[in-house]
Amino acid sequence: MRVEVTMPNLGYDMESGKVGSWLKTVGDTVERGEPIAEIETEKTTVEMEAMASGTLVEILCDVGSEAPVGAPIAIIESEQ
Amino acid sequence: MTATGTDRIDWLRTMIEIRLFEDKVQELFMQGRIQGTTHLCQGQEAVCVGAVGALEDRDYLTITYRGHGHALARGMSMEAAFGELMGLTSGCCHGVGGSMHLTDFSRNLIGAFAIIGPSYSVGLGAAISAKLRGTDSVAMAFCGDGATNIGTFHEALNMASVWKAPVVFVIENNLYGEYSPLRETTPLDDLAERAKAHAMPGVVVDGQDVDAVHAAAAAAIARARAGEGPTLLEMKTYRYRGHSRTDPAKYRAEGELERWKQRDPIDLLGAKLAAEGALSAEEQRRLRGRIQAEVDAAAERAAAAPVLTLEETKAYVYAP
Repeated sequence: MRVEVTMPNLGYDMESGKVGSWLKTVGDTVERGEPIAEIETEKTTVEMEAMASGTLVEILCDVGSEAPVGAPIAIIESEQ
Repeated sequence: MTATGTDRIDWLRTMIEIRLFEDKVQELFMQGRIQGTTHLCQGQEAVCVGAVGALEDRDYLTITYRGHGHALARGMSMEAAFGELMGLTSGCCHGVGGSMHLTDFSRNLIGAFAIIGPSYSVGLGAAISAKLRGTDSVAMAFCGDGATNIGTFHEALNMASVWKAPVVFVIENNLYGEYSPLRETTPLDDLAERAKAHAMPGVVVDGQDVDAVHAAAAAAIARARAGEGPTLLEMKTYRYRGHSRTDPAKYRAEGELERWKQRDPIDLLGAKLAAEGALSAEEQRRLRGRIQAEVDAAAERAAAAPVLTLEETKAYVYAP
């Protein structure tokens, strides 16, 4: 099953966030709860965890690019 | 009270439930399905389960804003806890309390406090009430390490000691008051020493070992129930995540988190149960899978409830 990884909501007034770095690359296995990216906002930088276990099959938002909250930024092909 | 083998498997189950509940809360925040802020307790599960699990139903409990684990250990359903965090009618306070106020009077969980300190004074009040009414109920009150520098902490300990109140004060010392290391704000390594100033026993406890937590809590509860007065328990523990939802906790020394994870409370009890032949590693792995499914299902059930209407809200607030 393809699971969308979306730009997380990190604050009361956050509208968009920037990918500071990807901690995994396409093809890597990821575990639910494992940090996969660092997301930057005006106020903070937070590690984002995978919400499903599987394989990271697509990165849709490159390092340094912004995306609105809720927009897909990567795809995990889930084991389930 | 001595714990049985069955009790300890239940403890493991509840500790895993708390861990996966908190992980799920983080996910729901990231997805924007929970608003506001939250304070998670991954790493501190043995304190919640060992201490709260030593209470009887008739006893009272006051907790803090980092209180999801204690509420679940007291028997609150995950659905009621998730619903409260989401602000929905499925919540234990119909969604008007939120993450920092998981409260359930039907379980004598009489308050979860966002302000630092009142958990001790309100817990003391419940203990005095129990004593004046001639019951043998005791109260257990939780606070963090930072709260031990607050006036309320000392006032509560002083009055509890003078009145021989049936109360157990628990400090969850996770080494950080918000973003400040304990050493920079407090001239002590062992906060249990503060008991001396108030003429009560102070006990340092390994907060990652649920057996040790439970034994210390049971002894303090027995002392309180016997009319011998209060005890201060200091649980040495650690929170894996930052202070609140957007705190990446970069202020911690390199390797500190990893060192604490080597004494993970769930792993410690799991290894003991496996070695004793009570629950194999494979059985524990399957248990974790079942609990994960329960956590995910509880969140979805909670999410299906509506928000209170403005009219309905009036029944739950004090304003005229």
